[in-house]
Amino acid sequence: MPVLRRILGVPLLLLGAATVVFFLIHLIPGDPVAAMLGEGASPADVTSLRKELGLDRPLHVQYAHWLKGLAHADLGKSILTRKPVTGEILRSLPATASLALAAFAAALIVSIPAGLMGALWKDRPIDQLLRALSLIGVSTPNYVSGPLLVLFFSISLGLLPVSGRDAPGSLILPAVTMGLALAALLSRMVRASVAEELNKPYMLAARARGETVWSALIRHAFRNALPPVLVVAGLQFGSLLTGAVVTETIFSWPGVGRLLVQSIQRRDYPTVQGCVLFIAFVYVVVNASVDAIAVRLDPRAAARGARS
Amino acid sequence: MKLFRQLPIPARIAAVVLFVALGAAVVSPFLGTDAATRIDLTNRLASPSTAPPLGTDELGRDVLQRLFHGATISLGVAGAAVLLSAIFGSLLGLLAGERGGFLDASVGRLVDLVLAFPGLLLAVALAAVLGPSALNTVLALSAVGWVPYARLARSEARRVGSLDFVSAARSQGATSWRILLRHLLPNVAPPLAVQATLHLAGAILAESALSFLGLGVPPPAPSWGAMLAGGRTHILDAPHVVMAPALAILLVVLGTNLLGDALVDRLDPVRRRSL
Repeated sequence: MPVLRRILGVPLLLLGAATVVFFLIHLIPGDPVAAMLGEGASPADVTSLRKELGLDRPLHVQYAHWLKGLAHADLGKSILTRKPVTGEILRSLPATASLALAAFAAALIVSIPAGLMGALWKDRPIDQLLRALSLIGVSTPNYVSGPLLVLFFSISLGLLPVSGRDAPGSLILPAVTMGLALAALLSRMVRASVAEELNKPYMLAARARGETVWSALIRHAFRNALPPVLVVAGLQFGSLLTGAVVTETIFSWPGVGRLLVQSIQRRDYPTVQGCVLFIAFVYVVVNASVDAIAVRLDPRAAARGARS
Repeated sequence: MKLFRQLPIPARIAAVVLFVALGAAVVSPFLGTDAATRIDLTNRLASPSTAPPLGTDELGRDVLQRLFHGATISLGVAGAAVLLSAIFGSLLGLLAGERGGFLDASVGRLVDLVLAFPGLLLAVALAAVLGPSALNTVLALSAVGWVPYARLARSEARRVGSLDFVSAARSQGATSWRILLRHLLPNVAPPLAVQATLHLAGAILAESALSFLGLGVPPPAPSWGAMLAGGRTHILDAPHVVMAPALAILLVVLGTNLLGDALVDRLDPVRRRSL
């Protein structure tokens, strides 16, 4: 039962991720404490911060301390604000969650009709146009599409705010930016998956019973084509979170991604570790859940998984 | 040339675009970086015109010059990351698949562990702690990039390793390394080459993302992602500073994807059918 094994493997993966993130700080070339405080730091400051972070203790003691903290959701304190990292992340979480959900919804709204049309009118001009658009979408990273969207919608047309989260409609541009590549990918998936179903005998039977093309498409083909698409969509949701790192930076969106980038710039490594670990945890849990749901949606997926 | 004529027309256009970009990447280091990094504050954010064809950026530097030198950095770093990932991942995967046992199990766990992180996140974290430099960017991208090669090489090595000709070689006393390099590698090379083709576009995007976030090759060296980040604050009064690197990234990635798809069609028809 590969799925069960994957779910049982989740705690192990989380432990692995925690270990990788623990060692990150030791990859800093030279003295990590000196790197955090900058060049003008006095030796006394360096010593006291080293003691505070526990970096003066043996490695295995530090590791045990780090894991013990994690068990209590304690990711240490930010060097800059002196506040607990967990709190900082939780404060940024609603912004990232709303952005990711909006981007995900935008991607589904665009990709499902586009994919259906592409499958129904396969190789006709509209399908070729949609395929060209999706190739451009997949090839356009968010740090390119974001500024271009700002240039057009905020600056030329003056319709939407350039950045921030306070003005009304401020969610639209970041969500579209983040959802664009996903929409392109999913519309390809929907198209391929539906097109495969269209050739099956049950579609002919449905048409023979007098159902219209669209009715047969939605009621039968789309239903059967949906599970694999939802699985890919679910697995991509985790990747959306990484996209948040760039998108939030472009739009000054006060989420976890921006917190991560700002902490990197300020050399606030405890916060960097916390953000990376938090995103990795969410990613692992989301992917494992999608795997579990996929089996319920489509038992064929489990059989395929067992074979491979 | 024969291959070129067999490609569909969009892929041919893509090949020409990539050829120009690669040409710029190879030639520009010989022209000296002076023009690309010379600051001229009296001529900031000049619009595209006859003198500097693409105008100047926020520090008065020639955008076209920077675009050319940026090609060297962006394509060079991405290409090096693909090469390092492919070599390391393939060898590790082949070795694991051929030897089996503890090594195989460890590689499997390591692959799972890296996959527990969203790809770009781990690269961002590594680049952040290692500090910005070309070498560190290559290392950060490769630390994530080797995984697909290892998985592919491992499963292919198992498949090919159970075939008769490998058993024959083994029964004649061939060493593990000999089997790996003489018998397994030639047979698993085509799918690995396809993987590398598909990986290149991703690597270019990842390099640009890192340099956009200020974690790539440090200034004043021009990299497309960094140019984009630098011009972003002036998008209102000088959109050309952003548009130039944005279009460069878009065209090169689009070209790589188009050409990659066409090459996949030709090199690996089986994979194509399963998509």
